[in-house]
Amino acid sequence: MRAEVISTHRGGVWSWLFQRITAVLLIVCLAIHLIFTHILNIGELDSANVAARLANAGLTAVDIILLAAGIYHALNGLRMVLMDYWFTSRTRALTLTIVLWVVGLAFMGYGTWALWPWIS
Amino acid sequence: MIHHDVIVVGGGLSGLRAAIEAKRAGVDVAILSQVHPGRSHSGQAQGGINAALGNHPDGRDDNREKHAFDTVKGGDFLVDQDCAVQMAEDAPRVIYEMDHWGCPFSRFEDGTIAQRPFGGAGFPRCCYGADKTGHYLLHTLVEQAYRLQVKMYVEQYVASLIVHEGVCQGVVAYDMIRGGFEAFTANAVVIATGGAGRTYSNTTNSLISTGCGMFMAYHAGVPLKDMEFVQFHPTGLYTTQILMTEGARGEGGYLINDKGERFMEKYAPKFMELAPRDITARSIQIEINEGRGIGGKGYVHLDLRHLGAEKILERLPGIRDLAIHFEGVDPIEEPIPVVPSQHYWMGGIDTDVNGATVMPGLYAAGECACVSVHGANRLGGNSLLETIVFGRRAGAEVVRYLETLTDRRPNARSAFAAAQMMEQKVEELGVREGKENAYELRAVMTEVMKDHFFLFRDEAAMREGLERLLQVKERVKNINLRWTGSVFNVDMIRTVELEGMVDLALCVAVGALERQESRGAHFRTDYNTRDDLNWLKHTLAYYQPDAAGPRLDSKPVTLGHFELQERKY
Amino acid sequence: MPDIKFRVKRQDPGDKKNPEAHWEEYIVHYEGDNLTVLEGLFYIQEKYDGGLSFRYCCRASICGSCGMYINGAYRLACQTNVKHLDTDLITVAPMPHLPLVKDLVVDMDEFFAKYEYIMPWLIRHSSDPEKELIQSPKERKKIDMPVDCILCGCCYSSCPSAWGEDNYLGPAALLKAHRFEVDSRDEGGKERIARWNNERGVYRCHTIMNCVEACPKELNPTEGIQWLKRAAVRRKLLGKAK
Repeated sequence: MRAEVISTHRGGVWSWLFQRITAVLLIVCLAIHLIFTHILNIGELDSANVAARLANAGLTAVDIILLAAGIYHALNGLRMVLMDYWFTSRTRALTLTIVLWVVGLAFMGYGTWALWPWIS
Repeated sequence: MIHHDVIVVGGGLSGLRAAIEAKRAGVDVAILSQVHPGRSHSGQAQGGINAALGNHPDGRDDNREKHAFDTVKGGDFLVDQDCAVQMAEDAPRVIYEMDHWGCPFSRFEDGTIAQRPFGGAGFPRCCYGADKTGHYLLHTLVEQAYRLQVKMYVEQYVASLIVHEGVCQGVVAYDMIRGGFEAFTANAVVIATGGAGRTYSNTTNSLISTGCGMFMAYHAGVPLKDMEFVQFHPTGLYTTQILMTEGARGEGGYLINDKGERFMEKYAPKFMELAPRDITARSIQIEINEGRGIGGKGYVHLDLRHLGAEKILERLPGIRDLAIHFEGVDPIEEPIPVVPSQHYWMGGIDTDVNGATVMPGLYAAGECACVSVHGANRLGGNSLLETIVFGRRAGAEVVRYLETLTDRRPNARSAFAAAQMMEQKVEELGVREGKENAYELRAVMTEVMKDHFFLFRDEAAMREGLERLLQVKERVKNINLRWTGSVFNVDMIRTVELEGMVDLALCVAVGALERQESRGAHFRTDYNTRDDLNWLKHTLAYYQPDAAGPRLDSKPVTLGHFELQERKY
Repeated sequence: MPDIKFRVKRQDPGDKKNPEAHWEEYIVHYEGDNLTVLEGLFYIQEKYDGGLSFRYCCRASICGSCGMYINGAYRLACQTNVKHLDTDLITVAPMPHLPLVKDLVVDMDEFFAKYEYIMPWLIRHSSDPEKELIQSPKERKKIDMPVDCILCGCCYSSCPSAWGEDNYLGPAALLKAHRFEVDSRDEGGKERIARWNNERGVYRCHTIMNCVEACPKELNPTEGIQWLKRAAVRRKLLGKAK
């Protein structure tokens, strides 16, 4: 054990907490999303139908939250796994986190851009 | 060669407490232990630790004087009374200190330390943590030792003392992990290696309770005191002799014979199952000898069923686990088969109330020492107390001793020679032409002790036992090692131990033969009463390099606080 | 009574002729129907091979010396009755994933270094009262489980997060941290939390729960670690851990 290595690592509590919060959000939002897409509103999966559904501001909000929670949960999970292996030092772990944030924000931006017509 | 101001041999409660005391005074202290300190035999203590705290509703009238008196009476008046008074006096403060250090004692509703009734005590004064009190105390002291950064040399088997011109200047230890002997020099050595229970085949003690500290000191010329007094615990598991705490009876457990009687009413009508251990153990043995063991076999029942599952699970979870794992019996459903088993060594290295021995620079504390606060029979709950009280006192005394020293440099040549002697000895063990097997001899010795020096002793049987021990001692000279590797050589350790254990066994045998009376744990069928006129004195045993057995001497008992009286319970 | 076969993993890294690990078989004879694995090992040591090395001390499952890998599970050799394994072949190996000293003896230095690192002692800032610190039975109950840890190392050896990862503290040390953090008498939150509340501390625990299965004292280190994670959140959000 190298005490100095362990002591350079700080935090982790937020990522642990948000992993749990996003998990709950995923369950709720995914359920709403699936119910409204596949049970209540079964129709052709075409642009008009989707557009009609997204005209409801509430459902758009759910999709946005689903997108954010999904990306966070997936990438944070990936980060946890990778930190077991190569990304063990403080520097490597920090680099990994930054890269994943960039990737995550990019996905988020792309998703938001796709939904933009209904948001605005 | 490694130097520390103070070396403590043994990492159990006494050793840790002594080291902590010295360390807190700013002294450079190191612990050498055969096992990691957290694994010491102290951790096997179950029932509790005595102190007149008065937390129990029935114990409000308890005080230190009564604690001291119970101790003296329990020890059948062979106790040095000033020491017992001192121990009872120190008891509350050391327990509060353990609590402040985080020891997880069980609690009463008002949040104070819980206390339970215990054998031979007039009031419930035994502080406990479920039935793992020793484990909790031990881990608390290990934690404090880490906090204070006490240097610990773990898995070092200490094999001999370094003595220069009559002054103890360190120890020689075998490094089990890296191999080889090393001299550790010091200005003072505290021996805290525990008892020698393993000289008996039917013992509740750990496999490392071999009395190595005792025979090291003995071989260096320090006398051993009251070695004939060996405690037999009433309740060891039938097949393995693993301890079933006195706390089980303290919580209300019954001892039952084959006829279903609570037979203790015949022997101790007032105290019943909570009579002192010597009396309870003998009572059980009488029942067994007279054919009233369960099914005519050699055990009686410890019955806890009426306590109910809830109480057993809360107060006695540890012994329930042990009974299930080692005897296949769940105390909630069935009574536990128990037999009297060797448990504690009242005798030991002769020390004063501060742990000092006759050799300058050498101190002892705990079970390996004989202060004497236990006299002829120790009360349950006093051994844990002894370790902490006298560990602390020895630690403080060592600090005072260091201040009196002008020359602090140990003699390097003596240290080197002592280490070399051990190396040669082991080398010789490996090459000599002996035909003897250490394990067979160990088995012979432990059986002799069990058969001839157990609860009931008499001249003829003891003479025969002594003869057989002398034969063992002769045969020990012809043991050779079967493995001579340097790392973790269990074979070597167990052989070296055996040589010393035989000497301790001889001290017991010779002392017991000599003492023509019955007192406490030493009961002779041919002299079955206490004889204060001739025998109110301590036995001292001195090592004689040229003779097989020890030379005996005696020493008066310190009285003055309590009147002698007949011992009835 | 019966004979039983022991298969023991032997290795003496210091032996120049044969430093490799190998299995050796011995027939152990016993009387009655009780034989613990530890007794079996002593039998082998006494009858066949004085060179067999293993740790031993209390033989009553409280000292934590003889944690081993016996018939595919972590067990204390002293607590394991061969009868209960219900087989006529007993395989005994040292605890895996730890550096080997010899035969069944593994190097525990790292284990205890991690134990020491989390400050396993009661930290107090207020002055101590003359008598005991008051602790209600309800508060005492919270430390019931973790105080029974015997530091045998089984959980640490079994934890996949700790395999090949020098800097993960492991279940035993973290359980010890839990033992003090949850103790009503402890006032050491600030000093100790930095030691375990980090990516090499509690957050390396992925609740695999091997430790729970391995623990011969039937403790639950995972529960302790999860408590610590929640305590860290409570401290961040509410300013107190308990």
